[in-house]
Amino acid sequence: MTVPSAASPLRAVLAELDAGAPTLDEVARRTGLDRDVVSAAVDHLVRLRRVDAQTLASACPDDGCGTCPSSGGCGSHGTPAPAGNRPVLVALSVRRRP
Amino acid sequence: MTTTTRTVTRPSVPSCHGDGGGEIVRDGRPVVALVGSPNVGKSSVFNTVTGARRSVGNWAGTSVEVGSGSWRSGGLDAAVVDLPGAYSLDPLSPDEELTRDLLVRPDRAELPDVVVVVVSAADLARTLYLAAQVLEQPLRVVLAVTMGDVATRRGIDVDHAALSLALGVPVVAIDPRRGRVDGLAEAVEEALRTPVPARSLRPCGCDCAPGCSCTCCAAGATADAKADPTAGPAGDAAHLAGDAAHPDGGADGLDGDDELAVADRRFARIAAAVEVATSRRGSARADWTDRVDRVATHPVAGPLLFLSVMWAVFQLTTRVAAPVQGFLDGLVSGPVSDGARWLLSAVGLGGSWVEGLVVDGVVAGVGMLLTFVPLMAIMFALLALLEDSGYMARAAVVTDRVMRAVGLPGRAFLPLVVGFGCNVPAVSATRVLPDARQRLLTVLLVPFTSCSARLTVYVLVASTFFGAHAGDVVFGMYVLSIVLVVLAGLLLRATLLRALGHEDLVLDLPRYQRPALRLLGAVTWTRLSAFLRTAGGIIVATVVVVWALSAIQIGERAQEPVRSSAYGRLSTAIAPAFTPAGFGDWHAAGALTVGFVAKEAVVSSWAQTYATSEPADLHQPGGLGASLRGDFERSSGGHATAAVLAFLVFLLGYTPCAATLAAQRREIGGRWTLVGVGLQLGLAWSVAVAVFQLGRLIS
Amino acid sequence: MVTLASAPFGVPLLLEQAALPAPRRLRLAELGLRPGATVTVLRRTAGGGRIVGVGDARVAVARAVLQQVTAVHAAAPAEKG
Repeated sequence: MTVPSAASPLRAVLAELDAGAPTLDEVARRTGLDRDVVSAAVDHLVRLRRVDAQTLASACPDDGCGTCPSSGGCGSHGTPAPAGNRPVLVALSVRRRP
Repeated sequence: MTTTTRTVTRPSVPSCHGDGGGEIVRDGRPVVALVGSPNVGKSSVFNTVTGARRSVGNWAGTSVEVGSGSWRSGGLDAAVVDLPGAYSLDPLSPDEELTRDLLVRPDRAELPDVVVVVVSAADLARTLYLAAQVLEQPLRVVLAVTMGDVATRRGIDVDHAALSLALGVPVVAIDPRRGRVDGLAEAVEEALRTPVPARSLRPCGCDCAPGCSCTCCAAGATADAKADPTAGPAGDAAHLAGDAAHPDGGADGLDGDDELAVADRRFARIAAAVEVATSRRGSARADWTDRVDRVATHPVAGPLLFLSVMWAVFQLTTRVAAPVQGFLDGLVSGPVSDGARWLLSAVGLGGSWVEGLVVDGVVAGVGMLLTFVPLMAIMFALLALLEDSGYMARAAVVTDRVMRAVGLPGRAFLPLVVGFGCNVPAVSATRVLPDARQRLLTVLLVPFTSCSARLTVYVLVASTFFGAHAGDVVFGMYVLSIVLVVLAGLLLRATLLRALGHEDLVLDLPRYQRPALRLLGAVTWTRLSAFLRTAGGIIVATVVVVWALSAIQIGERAQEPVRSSAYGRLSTAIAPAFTPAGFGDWHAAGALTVGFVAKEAVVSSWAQTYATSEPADLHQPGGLGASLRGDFERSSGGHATAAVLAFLVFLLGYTPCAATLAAQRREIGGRWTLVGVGLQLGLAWSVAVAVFQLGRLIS
Repeated sequence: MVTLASAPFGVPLLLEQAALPAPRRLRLAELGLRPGATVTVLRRTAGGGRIVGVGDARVAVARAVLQQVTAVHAAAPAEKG
């Protein structure tokens, strides 16, 4: 991409996502930006509705079920939250502007 | 700094948090506004700097909560306004709208004198966005950086001096949660002595003087397209006119590309600052979690460690719970029962069947339920401890091969482990398995895990017959339990559940951590109360039924009245089925009959069949023990040891209890539950007979 | 190109697409094992599996799954920041 990342981080990140970078680490590597900046940039792009974020998850995350086994089973109201929130897998897709 | 008169905005709705919150009163003191993203600790800062001199209320005409107070520290005496958490000034919510309204105004005189932007060291890139926007406005800014400890834990180091240089504002590191905000007051004081900066950040990058006719100024802060990469953040001229004419200066009102361009400029500034001011270290995780895992997941050491841990858990459970149980039992069968009898006598019901029902039925039942609380509580607490510390995941890895041999995924390990505490919650815990057929298999296998109720019978019997070796025998029962789970699993997979797929282990190993005691307590309580709720009613009901059965006489009254009772007749009828297993005696059969409904009732009803009293301490069976010894000798034809072991085996395998059956019915339906019952009876009986016959040959 | 089952220990690897059904791949991805991710195989576990490190995370993976995930040796990892 011709857009220099340092001056236009958002557009650089957008470009890399559009080009199919598989992970945020990869985006960080390609743009030369800090991993946290990339993450914040993606969140802002989602906020600007330039990028769609869709959470993908399988039935039961390990941590959640580690403390899950009470009579209510997964999602029981009596179950305390697991220590530390797990990051979730999110599919990012660039929105096509009309 | 001039003193200005200013309209005081009073909340139209009286605040419920105290008096007069939600307004900025110009009383000659400087006004400091606190802004920042949610969750950066802004409220802590507000609380710390204002101390007790603060109040909270709704801003006039809004539902937005604003705090106001006084900040007195050193030479600083200022009014503070705590604005709601806002990620940016683009008003996506009423909170952000208010923040924007207060910071972006045409009338300079109404602006706060200093804005303290609170950001998080652990998430600089994200929390600096608001700061970047604020820095486009003609405001004095001080940056307060919180969460340094969290950042350090994540291996991030922040150089505050470099950050200050990069952004052009004073930066102070603070720790409001521990009340440390030193340096912030001085920074604010210092800022108050400086003139209001005339600054802004315009996409066009042009050097606009008042009256400028560039596209930015003409459109009044809405323009772009000339995203000039060479125009840096520094050196932008003021756009006072533009701002004044359009208080909506900023991203609001821009169309998509302009919006992106403006945001991009801010991000460029942030990225540059983050680049310069933060550095990452390798995290400390590698060290000690990995070192422990070298043993915990090792092909040889791992399983050994696992067995030791489990052994320790069960030893602790039995040894610590026993005295508490004894005490509770004594309490119920003593003072409580006496009290009940006294009450009933006082009402004139002494000696009646009502007394029998109440004292020998209900009170005894509840008492029995209570005596198992210590055992359950300790078991659940220890299991919760293992889970929370992170060891459970390693145990799941170590047992994975065995799990797979039974055709279960590593995750099935958890319900089965819970089963060792109590089968009832274990059945519900199978919901961790996403696959319905795996759930079915696991639910059918849960009853083979030896629950703590069975433990009470083991302890009694083992103490009676094996004395000093009782602990080893009990441990052996648990090993056998695992063997039965595997055996039953293989059996099911070979016959009824042939179509079951395989799921290979993919499991996250969290860092080891010190378990949070409060969490432990909460989880233990949840499981314990669940047990009491589901099983409690059934257990009490069982004791009442057994009492009734033993009270009703059928046919000719025998020498021991219990024998000719309905209960006794039933047990006698069943007894011959156990002859091949060496305990074809109606006492034993009776105990097992009761145990079919609730294991907790076994010991007391056993005692009832001998008309002796239940031992207060299961480790010292006393009278009941003596009776047991006699009977087992007789029924086994002299091979008491083999018969006792066979009995224990049968007890382990047959069916857990009515509460478990109820839970099973809820999870897998009545038909499969019956299949389970058949499987359990069949397997338990076969193994018990085998044990007795083999034992007879050996001894 | 190696599979995670045969890869050397302690060497940074770049993951490629895994030949596994979608739910399995999703599960792996959730735990950080995605195409393009940099991982290190750390040690053997009881039961024939291995422990794979992705960043700070540690994932225990069974042999059958390891055999279906291919990887190439990664270039020297660029630690940003």
